[in-house]
Amino acid sequence: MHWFQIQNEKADLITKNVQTELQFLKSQINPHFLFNTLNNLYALTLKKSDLAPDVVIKLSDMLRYMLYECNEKEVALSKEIKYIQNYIELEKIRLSKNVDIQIKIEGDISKTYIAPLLIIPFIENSFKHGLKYSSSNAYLHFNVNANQNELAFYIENSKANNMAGSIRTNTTGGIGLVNVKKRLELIYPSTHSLKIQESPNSYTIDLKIKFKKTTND
Amino acid sequence: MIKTLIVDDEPLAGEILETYIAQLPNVELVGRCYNAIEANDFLNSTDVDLILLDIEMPQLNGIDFAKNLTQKAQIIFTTAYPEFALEGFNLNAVDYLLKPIAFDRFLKAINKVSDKLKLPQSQNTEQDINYIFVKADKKLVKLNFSEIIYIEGLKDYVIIKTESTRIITLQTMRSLEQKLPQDIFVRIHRSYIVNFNRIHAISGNDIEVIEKNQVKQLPIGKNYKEIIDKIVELKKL
Repeated sequence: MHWFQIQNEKADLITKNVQTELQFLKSQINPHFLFNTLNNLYALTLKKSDLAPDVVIKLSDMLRYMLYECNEKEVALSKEIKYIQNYIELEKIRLSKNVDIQIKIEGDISKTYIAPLLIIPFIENSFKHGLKYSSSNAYLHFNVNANQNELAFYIENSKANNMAGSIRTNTTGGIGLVNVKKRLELIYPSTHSLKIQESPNSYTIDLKIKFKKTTND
Repeated sequence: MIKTLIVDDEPLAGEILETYIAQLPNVELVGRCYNAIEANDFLNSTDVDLILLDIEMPQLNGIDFAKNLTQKAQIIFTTAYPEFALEGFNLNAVDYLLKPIAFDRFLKAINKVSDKLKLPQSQNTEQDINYIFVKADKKLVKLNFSEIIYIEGLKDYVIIKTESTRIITLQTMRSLEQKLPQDIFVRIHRSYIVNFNRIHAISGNDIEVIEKNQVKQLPIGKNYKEIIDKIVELKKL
């Protein structure tokens, strides 16, 4: 009986795990981002803009990363950050105003490894629920600090102050916050801390992941 | 003229639509808004026939905006979201265009709008009117559409060439263009409208028609080339 119970629980856990990962895979390419970016690219090619080639390269890099490199359990942090930078550049084209974007990276990110696509949902939300709404002085600050023991992410973005409850789960493709939280609990069960704070004018994410001695197995 | 408002939060997405509208003589851009709130303000002061409406926008999305719309403007949704198509059509939208939108697909949607806008008028009057009256020599001359080969515009008057005669009338190209059925009569140049049923051939930048048993070449204007290519492409074998 006892053995049965353990087996059942085990099977349950495996199913849940597989489901979360499956959802992750299914939602890793946000189709709206992809098609809206293609639409922008279309506009740039119509007017024969010099910006078009650069968009093609950035989009290709992103797709390659998502399709070929994210199947690994862990990826080099430098690649994940490159992906985020590309994403930010392409989102910037979609905005109708200037935003102040500051990215600060400290530590050796090429020797640090992390589960893929953990951070991008936060950045997606910054644009979706923050930068697109805030009228003036829109900003996004993204800090990464990697040392031997810990990896820290800090994301702060402006938001419109009349927006009530802008912590919305992303239901329209892309990886929603709920899913990220699930993944964090699965992959870094007792070694991560996630603090999300919302003030009338800003929204901050504070994520820390502690490393065991071997980070890449 | 279809008075049109663009509502899209993305600058480049709006630019594409502006470029397309500029190529269509029967569509006039009257406004460009970046969100639903702006659009609402705009519509309070201006009447429009058509709204090209994005769905994913901050504050209020296009679907909700359309639901609460009081003006009876036609709506074409322009979006990257295929999943709202059903809801879009339930809101009586004329069409639902998926980004990136190709020009011929856009043209098709606009044609649906012209059909819709024309429909109530043609039901009130006679069906299938296939002639017009033009003032010439203190008379009103009746001309069947099928007789007209092409129309040449000069400064304040136009010359209408038919099989048997030419009629000179005080009229602008623009006003005449609006009175003629747009599926048959196509503006090919600042100074020329041609009856597409009477075209003999297209060679390079010229359209050839037969006038008094002779080939007459009419130039295609730079700004009209793309739309003519599209029309021809649709009819090509």
